[in-house]
Amino acid sequence: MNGLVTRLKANARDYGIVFTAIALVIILSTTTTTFFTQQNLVNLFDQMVVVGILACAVTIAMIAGVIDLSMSAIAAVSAIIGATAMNAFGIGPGVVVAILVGVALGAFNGLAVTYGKVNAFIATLATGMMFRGFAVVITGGQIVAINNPAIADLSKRGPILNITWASWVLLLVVLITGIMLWRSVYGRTLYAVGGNPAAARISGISVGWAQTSAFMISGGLSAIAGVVLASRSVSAQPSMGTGLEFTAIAAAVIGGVSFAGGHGAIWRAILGVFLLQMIANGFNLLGLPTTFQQVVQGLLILVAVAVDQLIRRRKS
Amino acid sequence: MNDEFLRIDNITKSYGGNTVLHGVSLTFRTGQVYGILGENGAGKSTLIKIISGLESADSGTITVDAETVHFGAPRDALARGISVITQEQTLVLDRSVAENVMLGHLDRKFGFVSERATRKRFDELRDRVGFTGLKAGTPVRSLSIATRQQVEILRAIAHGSRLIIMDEPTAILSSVETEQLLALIRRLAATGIVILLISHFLEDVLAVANEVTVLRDGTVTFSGPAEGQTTQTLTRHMVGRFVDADHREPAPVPADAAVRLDVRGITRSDGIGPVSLSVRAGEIVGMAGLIGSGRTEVARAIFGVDHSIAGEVWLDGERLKLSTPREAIRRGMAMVTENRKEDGLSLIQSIRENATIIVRRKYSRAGLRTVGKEKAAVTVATKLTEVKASSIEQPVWTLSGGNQQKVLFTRWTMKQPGVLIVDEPTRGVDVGAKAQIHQLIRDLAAQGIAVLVISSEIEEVMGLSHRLLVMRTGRVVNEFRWGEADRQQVIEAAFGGVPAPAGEGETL
Repeated sequence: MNGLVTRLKANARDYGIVFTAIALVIILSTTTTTFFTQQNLVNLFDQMVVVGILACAVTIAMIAGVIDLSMSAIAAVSAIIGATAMNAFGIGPGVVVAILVGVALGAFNGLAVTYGKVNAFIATLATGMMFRGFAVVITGGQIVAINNPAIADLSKRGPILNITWASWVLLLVVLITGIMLWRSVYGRTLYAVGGNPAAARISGISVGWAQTSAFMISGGLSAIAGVVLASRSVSAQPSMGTGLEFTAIAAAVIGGVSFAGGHGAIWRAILGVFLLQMIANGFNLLGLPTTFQQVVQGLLILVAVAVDQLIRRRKS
Repeated sequence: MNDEFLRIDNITKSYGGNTVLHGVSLTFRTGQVYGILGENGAGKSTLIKIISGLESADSGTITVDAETVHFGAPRDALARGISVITQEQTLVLDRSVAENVMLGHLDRKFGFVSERATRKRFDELRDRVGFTGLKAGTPVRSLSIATRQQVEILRAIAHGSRLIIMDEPTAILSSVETEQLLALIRRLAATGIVILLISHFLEDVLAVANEVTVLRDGTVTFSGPAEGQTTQTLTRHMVGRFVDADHREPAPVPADAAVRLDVRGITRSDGIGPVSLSVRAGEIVGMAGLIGSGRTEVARAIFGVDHSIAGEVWLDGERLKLSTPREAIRRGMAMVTENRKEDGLSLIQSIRENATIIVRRKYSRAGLRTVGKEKAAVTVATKLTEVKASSIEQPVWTLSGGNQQKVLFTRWTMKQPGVLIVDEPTRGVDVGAKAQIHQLIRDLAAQGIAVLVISSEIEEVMGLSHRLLVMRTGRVVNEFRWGEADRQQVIEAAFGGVPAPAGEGETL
């Protein structure tokens, strides 16, 4: 019993974010007639997909104690190369190529950070610019259209649960990465590395490899997000998704994934994405001026981090 | 000089429903040194926080210079001449000594900092206090921990402090540095400054304090002159029972015990080494020496944390080919590092997560963890190491220093090592936990583990070790069997008072 109370207190943060989400759902359900309808919820979910996948990537990187600011650039490059491959070999091989490109670019990030000893923030800021420029070079600044319109089916609803195929992609990503962090030995390694890299090293863990692999997963997931984004317009182009990594990082932080590393979970990041998306959705449904939307979202990030700090300070 | 400077009356403080101070009253007079003792959780830190304005009391009064005061923030206490020097140093590492000392009191000329005037005032202050070794322009980063401490003290004096609280100042110092600090405290007191010394090192307190206050569970169990007190009497006040100083002779090592760890001429690029040593199954070998003598560095080289440029490490008769922690662990070596917060524990994670990080693969199937088995194993292991916590899921930062240290031991014992290196096993740990950790080390050796113990606390290694190696300037200069040398001889060897034996660097 005593242990339960301690755990409840130690995890006060979890409940804060859950309660906020539930409160918003209740508020929006009671003040609007349109929020709690199947159509709206299906749309809401569909809109979460791209940022949601990126938020999973952010969570993995942040738990391993690194950060990846090149995610949207990786998404663009992978989608462009993937789209080209789709046109040549079909959709399936194109997706595989896109993911491989994402993993490779992630590996490049990882090597720059772990072997090049460049701070992850700076390194991926730089590689992000490089990748983005790379995308412009490949395309000559042009849009790459995908010849097979079947790719747009990702936005169509599937047979089960009535949600879109893209939403299924997100669900699958959440499930796999979630179990990986929650239960796998590899996940434990990432937490250990992010929690205290020096201690991890003395415990026989290869910190460099753990962080590099986290970047590779992050790159692969960015590529998947890029493909979903490309499916929306049946094309890929160099400027696609610009700045999305910041939304994803914000979502993870709101959910309670620690910027300092070693602490967090996939469900937290997804809850963060859900909150951000619900605010946008609420503004639309309530007919509030959307100009204030970003102000509220920004404020939410500040409050989330401030509350986190406050709880931590009281603990210590 | 027996004027009262600060008095606290009936101070009570509770957090939640937990009362940590029950009506504590104390008086501090100018020019006196006060030792404040107590186990972790006895209320020392809270008392200090209240005196220094970091926390406010629920009830009770604070009187400074016969005037009742209310401290809302540390700056209020600072304005009254009260400053704290904590274990975590708060210096700006990349700025000079003078800038650090004069921070907040820099001389200005036309709105710019006048370097010359600042240095002049620094020099005056330094000479007045007598820290002649400090140079104004030296960047703080290049100084040793002991010297940095002097900079902090000087800063407190520059701020006009009349009462300086020192929280575990000797914990990070070697024996000689400790002696120097104690001498310094006496000098400061002679100038009329009040010193509050909070320490787990009873000898240090007894050596310097005029009066001693012992706290237990938030109440004062003893307060009076230090004269006539011994570590035994003070310990009894602290724990409420008599704790014998731990100086039992270690259980003998069987004559046929095999050599488990054999280090041959290990040498580092920073001039430390060559060092050779060997530890047999069931044997505890201690390493003493001043800070900077290379004890920790040798241990880190043996374990493969740092590179060595020459030498070999043999484990159970086989040479270690790779020199990385991963390889060392694979071959049955374990190392409890010197600084548990820096390279030991991941504080935000739970006891279970910290304890199983090395054996994470053992409790898994197909890459997925079998948490049930893991929990069962950790529950058993933490019982053996006597970790006190309400649950193994408790985050490590919520534990006391002693319990954190035991979690670190749990991690390595779960791996069942053949060789265990322990660096500063009881730093920042209270008396009760210390005895338990010492017993744990003995028990592990009794199981046939070869143990290498490093400590700045000479009594600790003297009491634990079958053989004690003394290091100086990167070499092993002396070796004593248990009971062969007294504290003085060990200190002399560490400091260079005894000529090094021929063939320096080689052990017997």
